[in-house]
Amino acid sequence: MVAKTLTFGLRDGHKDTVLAFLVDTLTNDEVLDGALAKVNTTVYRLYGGYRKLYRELGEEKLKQELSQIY
Amino acid sequence: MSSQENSRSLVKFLLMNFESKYKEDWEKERFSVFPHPCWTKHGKLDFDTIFYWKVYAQGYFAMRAGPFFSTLANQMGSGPAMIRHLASLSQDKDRLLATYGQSKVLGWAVTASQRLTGLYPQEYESYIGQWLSHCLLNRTWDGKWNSLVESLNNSAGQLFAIDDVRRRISNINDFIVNKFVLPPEWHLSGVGTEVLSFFFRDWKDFTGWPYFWKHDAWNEAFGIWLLKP
Repeated sequence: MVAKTLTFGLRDGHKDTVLAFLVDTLTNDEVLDGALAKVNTTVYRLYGGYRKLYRELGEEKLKQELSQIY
Repeated sequence: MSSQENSRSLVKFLLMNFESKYKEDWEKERFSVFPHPCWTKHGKLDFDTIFYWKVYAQGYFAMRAGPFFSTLANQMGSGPAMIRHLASLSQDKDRLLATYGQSKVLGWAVTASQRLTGLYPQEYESYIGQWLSHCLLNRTWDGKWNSLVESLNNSAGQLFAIDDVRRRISNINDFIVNKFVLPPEWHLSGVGTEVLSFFFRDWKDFTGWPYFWKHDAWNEAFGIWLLKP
């Protein structure tokens, strides 16, 4: 029997969505080469950077910053 | 472009960003027990300190867990000494557990430390080494890092001998839950699958590391974005 996963502290919502997307999209060799950890790290840094900016600058200022980039 | 081409394009973008911007940062997150202690981004750390850094990097404490435990272990003299110190803070435990955020996480660390020192009253090189050995094999660890790594890789190795990557990921997750999270005799407070995924993902000696995904609120945002039409 396979036990059900318990969650302590952190939420695991949408984890299955992310993993299903990556497994469908990555090649076997890419997974073996650590692509999950690489994408994991990149997503964390990208979203982390956005959140940090959001906290530091506030929504309006962030929109202005982003509008200058795009 | 087809949906599959869009997906490949997104993954390629993320992998290219990793190679150009984040590879070096990630290498500093990883650790090994050969040699032990190991150089990390928080200095030279022993296995117990690294474990606390990884598993108690939760919520708002996530960014501070590494410096906090490395500093504390340094002050106490070692990771095991840090665990004994945390275990001695029983008068603070209830207050910490009654709060939210980083104090609650520290309350879990104190509770887990009390459990470890209760399970292993003798002073060992590594409480976590002992704990892993008992979870894996129900056996006392001989204190040799190569035998611990070999036990872990042998126990998990059979899970990778199938072609289907999705099943390999699912199997390794079930393995972690059944070995380290659910058994009440070994359960450590605050230690669940997501934080153990962070620990095992970054442990270079473990052959299963490529199958782990550390999920948190920021990666959840990525999942929500993927679900958008």
